[in-house]
Order: sequence, then structure tokens, then C-alpha cells
Amino acid sequence: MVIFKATGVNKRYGEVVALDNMNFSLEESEIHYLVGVNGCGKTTLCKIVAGVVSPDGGKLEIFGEEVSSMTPNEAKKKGIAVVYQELSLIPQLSIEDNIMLGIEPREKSLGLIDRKTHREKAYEALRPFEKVIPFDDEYLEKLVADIPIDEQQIVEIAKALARKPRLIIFDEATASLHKQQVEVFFSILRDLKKSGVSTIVISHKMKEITEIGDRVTIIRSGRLVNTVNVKDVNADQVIQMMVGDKELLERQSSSSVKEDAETVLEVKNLSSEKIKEVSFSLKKGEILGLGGLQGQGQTDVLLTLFGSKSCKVEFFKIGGEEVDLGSATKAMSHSLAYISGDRKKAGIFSKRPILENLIISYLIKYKRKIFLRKNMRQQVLPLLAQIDTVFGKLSDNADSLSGGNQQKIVIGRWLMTNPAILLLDDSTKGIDVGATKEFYDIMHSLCEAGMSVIWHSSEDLELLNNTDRILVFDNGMIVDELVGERLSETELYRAALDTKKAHEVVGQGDRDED
Amino acid sequence: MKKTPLALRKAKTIIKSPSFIAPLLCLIILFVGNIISPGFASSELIINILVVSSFVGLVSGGQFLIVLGGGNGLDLSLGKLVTLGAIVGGVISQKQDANLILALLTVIVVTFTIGLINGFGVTFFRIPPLVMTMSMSIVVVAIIKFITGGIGVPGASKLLQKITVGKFLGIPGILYIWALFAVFMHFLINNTTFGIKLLATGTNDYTASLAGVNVTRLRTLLYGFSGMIAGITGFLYLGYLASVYNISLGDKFTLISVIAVVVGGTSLGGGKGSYFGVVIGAFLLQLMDSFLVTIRIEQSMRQVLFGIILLVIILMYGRERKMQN
Amino acid sequence: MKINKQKTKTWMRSFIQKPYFLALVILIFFFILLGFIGRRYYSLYNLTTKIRLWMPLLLVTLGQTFVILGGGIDMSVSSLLAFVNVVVVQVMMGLGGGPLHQIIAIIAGIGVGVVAGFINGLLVSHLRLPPLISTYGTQIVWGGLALKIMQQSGGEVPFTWYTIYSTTIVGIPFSVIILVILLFGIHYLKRSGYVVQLKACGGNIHGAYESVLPVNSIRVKSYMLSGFFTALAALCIVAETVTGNPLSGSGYELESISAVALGGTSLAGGAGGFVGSILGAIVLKLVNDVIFFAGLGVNFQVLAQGLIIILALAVGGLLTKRSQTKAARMRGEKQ
Repeated sequence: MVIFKATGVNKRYGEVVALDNMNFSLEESEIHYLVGVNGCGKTTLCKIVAGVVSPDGGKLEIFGEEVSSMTPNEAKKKGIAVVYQELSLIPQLSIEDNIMLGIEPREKSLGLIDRKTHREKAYEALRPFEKVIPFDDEYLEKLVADIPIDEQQIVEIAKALARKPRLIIFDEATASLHKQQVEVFFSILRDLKKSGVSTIVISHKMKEITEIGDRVTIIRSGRLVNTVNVKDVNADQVIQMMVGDKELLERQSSSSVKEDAETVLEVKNLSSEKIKEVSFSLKKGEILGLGGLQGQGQTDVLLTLFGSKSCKVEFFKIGGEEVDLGSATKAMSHSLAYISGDRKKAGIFSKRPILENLIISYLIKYKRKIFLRKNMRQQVLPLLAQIDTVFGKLSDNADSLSGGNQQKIVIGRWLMTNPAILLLDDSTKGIDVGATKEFYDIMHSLCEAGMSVIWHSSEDLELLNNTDRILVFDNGMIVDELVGERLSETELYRAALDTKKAHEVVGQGDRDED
Repeated sequence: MKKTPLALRKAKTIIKSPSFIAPLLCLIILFVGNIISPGFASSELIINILVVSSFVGLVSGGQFLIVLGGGNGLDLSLGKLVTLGAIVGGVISQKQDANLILALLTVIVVTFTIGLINGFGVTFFRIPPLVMTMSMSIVVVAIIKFITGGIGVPGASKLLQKITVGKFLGIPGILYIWALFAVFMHFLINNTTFGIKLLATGTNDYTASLAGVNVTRLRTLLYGFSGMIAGITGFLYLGYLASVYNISLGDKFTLISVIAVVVGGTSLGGGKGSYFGVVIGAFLLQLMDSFLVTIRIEQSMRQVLFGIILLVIILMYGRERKMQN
Repeated sequence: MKINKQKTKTWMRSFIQKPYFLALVILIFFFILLGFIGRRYYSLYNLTTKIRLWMPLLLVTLGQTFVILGGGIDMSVSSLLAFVNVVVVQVMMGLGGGPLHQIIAIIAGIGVGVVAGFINGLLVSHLRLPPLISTYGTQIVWGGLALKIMQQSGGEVPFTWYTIYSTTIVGIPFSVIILVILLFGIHYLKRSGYVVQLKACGGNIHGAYESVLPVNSIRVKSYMLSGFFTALAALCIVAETVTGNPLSGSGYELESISAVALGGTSLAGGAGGFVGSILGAIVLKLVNDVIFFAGLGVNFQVLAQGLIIILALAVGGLLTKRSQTKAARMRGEKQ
């Protein structure tokens, strides 16, 4: 019996198409995996199922009823639960209280909470995990803030289970779990299936899909590629469907790295919140890519280099000398520059004039105290022309520009500081094709002139077409380095998804601590 | 669906903006006031109101900087610091013209330091600015009581009085000071790196830190500056009052500076605003107060009214985001 | 034997980790100190008088605790206290002063407190004004209204109010009995799950919303509770001073907030409790006495008060920062 059906669903965010004529159906008692490369639309689809996002067009059928849109509350009432990667837990409350939040059982008479049933139900929700967590009263009373992230994820799952849903969506729910806990997760999925609950699982772990999935849906660029039975395909075929038969576009230009190029940057054993003992080096004129699935630590590498995130490192060496990159100002003084892809939060001062957006870092770096706007305007105009920026007046607010031009303003800001190393953090996100190509051209001409770039992007083709080398990240560590012929999408995904282990069955092999 | 023509939409935005409403209200109040009580809009009265507004305007300048800097910045210790400035100024100068410079320097050092402590509490200890500055004002009260308890406070020296209320070309000295201050503020905001850093921080402090701004140091300094400005204003205020009549002489400046800043179009979240708006705001508020006195609204109800005005202004310009984003 | 030792150890460790542990230590320290420098501090008379005098702040602090747990703050408690104060006195006198009129006055006072709290709650939750500045605004309004109702202290309150308020039953002060009753009420609120839901709103309001909690009405209730407790505090002050005073309660907003912070409740919301708030309020009051008995002047009391408040807030701020970094580090530890 089909319990959820989406037909011809469309969704766009501004210029970006998230879902295009998407068809998806979910059977009862099914474990259904959703896979696709970064930004393919799988999260958007799940948000539509959960009622968080309403589609622009298309039909939705939930438990047989046709609906045009839903609110999250309605979805919950229908029995749809979501376990996100970003937790909805309250850190200052206990595990028990978090699980039962909003569904506390009460005594009829005084409206007091029935503490006995409250605790029983919390135990019930946690029961599937009883072998991998302390399963006693003391544990249930612990505050969520005081338990490690993997146990927090478990509590989040228990919270969803406690609501006895008919449909659960797991969005990268196993990202923080270790082997034993993942086994438990599998048995939960099997139990849910037995009791008639359907699950949609977003995950990039190939071994999970082959181990436990019933069907898998592959999405690419917002469109459905195929929905197949897991037993009919193998991991490589799935990856091929995710990645497609695109031909590698001509590389933008030849590499600017000279034979005897010096090393401009060396990083040894860098650790921070999301990364663990990362080491690499960068040559002059080189474009080094940071690849892998989103959120595996690439941004942390860039932010720690730029002094904007705390970290532990054995050393940073620029031009052979050890340097202190403890703050953005210090990083700037060592000729580093950071361009974020999240323009609104980390790039542009939207309600400030373009001129101010441009000159701020220049003024700070070169310690200028006062200035005349007229002079700065004259200084700035040729630069804007050089990078082909389209704008009205320099006194217009920055948010009057298109996304692509806003990004050029950020580039312009940093160019004024004469950087030697550019840190690009998914900088072409949300920018149209034309402006993106201009961006690539600018970067390449800068490298010709001797600048070096560390380039993180969530778009694999962008990395493959523009970089000389790619460091592939998974779980905060570098798992592979792609160079030369290995710069292909299939290789990229093989490394990112750790498919070499895809044929291992979980449970065999080492059972000891991970 | 017809689209409203660009010109009409632009006109609507201008009409709704505080920089249009405030001057308009000034004119309306002057007009109505003059009808109810002829002579209300006379140049003599207006100059009187301007004189009082200038002190408010100066203090509001400090508040303006704090609000611009973002982070829900607000300084509620300014009123007491005005009082402190007047008292310290009076005590050190002892009515002697010769001691004025020393007195001014002392006031600057003391109030700047107190402001820095405020800034430190806000940035390093993450104490909400409203709470930190209010607590600091209690400490300032203690200092004030300590100074006035033991020693009597002499009045203002002749020179000080001349500077503030003495007329040059028919205009009281304090207005020149205020005008100079306004020019300085304009210069600070528009032509200094500090100004750019300030506005950037107020717009988005994370982006500002990524652009190289030391947000912590900047915000701490801001509180130092606002305290210092309040202290200097108190120093000058003594010249206007001629003597210290009671130790709550500065209290009213606190609330009025907040309202003047918001009425003048400055966003409470930071990053947007012009001192010219604050100037108009200060004048408008004094004018309103004067008007209310003229139509015999008593002190308590004037207070209620100003509280409601504050709430209405936040309602119009300062609300938070909806839950479902 | 072994099992018992283990249990005591964990009990001790969890006790040390309680948010109000610091306040308790300071409290005990001050009490011991006062035993030495205070003249007959521990006489029954002195202690019962002290508790009576401390009660208004205790009550306001309890109300403030609700608001802060929910992620908000209430700056208007000081002038609300004055407002209720003068309303009670004026209504009582205006109606004639008889026993029935006194009861009506009490009800009116509590009603004013609850309605004022309701207005605060509406402004913050439904109209989405920032709590700090919005309750600062209402502080100004209540203050002005208080002055309107009564220009200066005065009024006649029957002396029976003082008599009843200062009486002791079986050696226990009347005010303490009232406090105990209120604590039972708070306990009921805990048992009914309200406090947990309130903490959810304060701790992670989006999470609370996601969990389908009625976030708005929870927060409005917290402000109404603050208004209710403030009204009770006003009644205590009326009974203590047998006058109406439009300037009473001055400083209570800062004192209650710092008492809450001192008691270990995070000003950011979500963590902490009522025990800590009571301890925090008592510590604040003890500071005054310590300074008095140490022979320093009145000015020092005011100075110390301000400094202690800032210190309490600073410590509170540091603890909040530490718990935030702890949570962040934890996310980094397990990969």
C-alpha cells in the first residue's frame, strides 16, 4: 500500500530549481533510501514530506488523502516524524524530559504528570538502544548537554520513536554514530518495518543501503533518476546513477603551477571542532580543492586558517616561516583572504553602501584612519571594472546588486588587500551560470599572476574543472587525494562515500571499539 | 495584479520613515502649540528648547554610537554619568576658571574608565548591555553620594557659564558646541575607518570579524566613548544649571537619549542611522515635553506617555522574527 | 558497605554540580562571618525580623525566575511593585477602610499585578518585542502610573496589617508561612510539567516549537507569574511600612535579576531553579548586613550592592559561556 506519493512536484528557491517534476512513492513497511550528490534535492523532498516546505506545483497524497500543502503540525498529527541532523533537543533538560517533551502522560484528576508512566515510556522509546547506552535511572536524568554527540543523536531518534509515528524520515541520522550504534539503528529500522512503519533514510553510506534498504531512489539535479530495488543493483551502479554520464568539461585553463614552485603554505596536524589532525601544503599558483560531501570539515579548515575559529595546530607555515593565524586581522596581515559562499551571513554588509563594502578590509590592513570618499571612489572604480562588476552608484546599498555582483564586491574587497592566498568557501553558491564562469576566469587569471587558492565547493564539477588537486574529506579527515587522471566524478564519490568498504557486511570484521 | 509604480512606492517609504515623520511632528506641535498658547512658537522659546535639547543631543550622540554598534547595545548609565560629570567638574574646578581644564580632564578620565568597565562587562562577560549599564549606574550613584556626602559641591565657574549659556551673536554657546559635535559625528561616521568598522559591526558582527574588525575591542571602546561624552555633557550642564541642585539632575537623560536615538531613525539592531535624525529626535522630544507642560499634563503622566512612545516605537521598528521562518 | 560509599560519592558529586552550590557556599560563609562580627545576629528576634524584611525581594526573585527560565527578563518589577503598592492603599482608603474593603484592595492589587504581567507577556510573545527593552518601557509606564495615583508617600493603612505580617505562629514568621504555601504552588507547577516546558522555551525555543509546545502561552504565563509574585511582594511592603509609596521597589529589578544569576540560573534561559534564586536573594541581602557590621558607612553599602550585582552577573555570564563551550567541545570530541 502506498502511504506517500508525490507526483510532478516542483520547487524553486528564487533562481535555483530544487525539485523538477519529481515523482516519488513510499510503500507501507518499507525502508526507502534517498541518495544523490550535494544539493540534488533530497533534503527538499523530505522537507515537503514533513510539511516544512510547501511545493510550488504537483500533487501530494498522504495516507491516501490528497493534500496541496501541509504545516509541520499537521504532518506531526498525521504521524510523520523527522530526525534531523541538527537536533531539536533542549540541552538544559534531561534525556527523559527531552524524549517526552510535549507528549507527557498526565493523571486525570489534577493534571499532574504521571511520573511513573513518563519514565516507562521514556525507557520504552530508548529500549532499542539498551545495549549501547547506560540504561538506568541515573542516565535518564542526565542533561542532554552533558552527553556526547552520538548519544544525543540517539536521544533524538528515541524522541521521534516515542511519538509512535507511521512515517519517519532520517536525515543523515547516523552521521555521528559509531559502528555498534549503527547496528542498533539497523535493528530499529527492521523493527519499525515489522510494525508497519515506513522509513525514508537520507544517507551517503553505501554499505547501509546494501545492508538494509528495500528500495533506493536516486535524485540528480532535482529530478528523479530512478527508483530501484536494492537487491537489483550494486553500489557502483548507484553511484553511476547519482553522478550521471556527464562528460568532463574542458578544463578551464592549464594549470598555473610552475615546475619548481615554492610552497606558500604548510599546515600540520590541524584540529578543531569538526576536523582531526589535518595536514597539507599549498604551492604558489596552485588551486587546491577541498572535496567530499558537505559538512565534512572543509569549512572548518578554511575558517581556522583565517583565524575565525579556534583550533589546535602543530604549525602553520607561510613562506617557510611559522606564523600565528589566531585572528582575522593577523591572517590578513599574512596576506590571506577568505570569501564565503554565504553572502548574507558572512560576506556582504547588505544595508551599507557598495563603497564601504569594498574598502573596509583595505583600510584595516593598511591602517588608514581617515579617508576621503572621493579618493576612495577613484581608487575603487578601476578595480570594479577589472572584474566586470555591474552596479548603479557606489553609494547604493550592497543588496541592490545581483548575487553574482555581490560576490564580486567581496572579491574586490579582498583584492584591495593584495592577498597571496585566497580561501574560497563554496563561493559560487546561488550564483547564476554567467557570473560563475566570470568567477572562474578571475580566479585563473589571479593564479597566473602568482596567487594561490584553496577552493572548497559543494559542486563537484566546479572542483574537478578548476583545481589542480583535490583533498577529499570525510568525517573531518582527509581520506584521499585526487590528482591528474584521478580527477573524475566517479573517483570523487568513491572516495567521499568510502565505497571500497561498501561490500563489507556490517557485523563481520572487527567488533571491537571503533 | 497591478504593480504600484516605483515612484509611488518610493514616496511611501519616505513618508513612513522616521526622518520624515519627526520633522513633520515638530512643525505640527509648534503649530498646535502656538494656537493653544500664543508665543509657543516664538524664537525665544525655540532657542530655549534648543539649549536644553543640545545637552540631550550630546548625550544621545553617545547612545547613538552604542546602538549603531549592534549587539542590542544600550547604555543606561548615561544619566548618572551626566550627574557625575557635573559634580566632579564642580568639585575639581571649585568655581575657579583656572581649574576648568584640569576639571574637564578629570571628568573625561573618570567617565571614560567607567564606560570601559561597562564595555568589558558586555563583551567579555556577555552581560546584557541593559543589565550591565543599569548595574553600573548603581555604582556611579554610590560614587556620587560619596563625593557629595563628604564635600559640598560648589557651583559653576563664571567662565563655564559663559561658555555654555553666554551668547555669541545672539546664540548661546552650547548650541555652537552642539553644532561642532554634529559635524564631528558626521565626519566620524562617514570619513573614518572607525566609522566604517562601527557600521559594519552593527550591520553584521560576524561578517565584520571576517573582514578584519576586532569586534570585542570596538564595542568596549564604544561604551568608553559614550560614558565620556555623557561626562563632558554633565560638565557643561553645570554651566547651564549654575549649581548642583540635587543629585538626580541627570536621570532624565537616560530614557530620553534612548528615545531620541530611536525616534531619529536609528535601528535598534544597529548598523543604520544618522546623527541628524538624532538631533531632530532630541529636539522633538524636548518640544513634546514643553508642549505637554503647556497643556498642563503633569509629570507622572508625561512619564507614562514617554514610556508608551518608547513601546510604540519599538513596535514599529524593532520587532523580532516570526517563529516559522 | 561498598555500595553505600559509591552512592554517597555520586550524591556528593551531583550536589556539587548543582547550579546553586556556589550561592549556598557563599551563604554559609556569610552566616558564619556574621556570627562573629554581628552583634547577636542569631537571636530569634533578629532572624525573624530579617526574614520578614527580605521577603519582598525573595518573592520578586521567584517571579523573575519564571521569566528568566523561559528565556525572557522582566525589568518592570520595580515600578510594578510601586504601582500595586499605591493601588492597594488607594483602593482601601477610597472605599472606606473597612475589613471588606481591605480584602477588595488586596484582590485589586493582585489583579493589577497579573494584568500587568499579561501585558508584558503579550508584548514579548505575540508582538515579538525584545523583552529587555519592552519591559524597560513598561517599567516607565507603571512608574508613571504609580506617581499619578499617589504623588508621594502617605496614606493610611490599618496597623493590623503590620501586626498580622509580623506575627509568628509557633515561632515561625507569618511571611515564611506564606512563602511555604507559595513553594507548594511552585512545586505543583513543576509536577504539572509547566516548568519543564518553560525551560524548553528558554533553552531552545525552536526545538520547543518543533515539539509542538504552545510557546506563546507558556511565555505569557511566566510573565503573569512574575506580576503575581511582584504583587504579593507589594502587599508585604504595604504591611511592613503601613503606607503607600509610589517609589517603593526601586532597584528590585536589578536585585532580582542578579539574585537569579547568583543562584545559578543562566540569564540565557533554560537552566536553573527556584532554590538557587532564594539563596541568591538571601546572599544579596546578607552582603548589606556584612558591610554594616563591618563598620563601613552607608555609601559603602550602596557601592557594595552595585559591585556585588555586577559580580553576580559576571560570574553568571562566565558560567553560561563555559557551558556553551563545553557543549561545543563535546561535539568535537566524538567524531
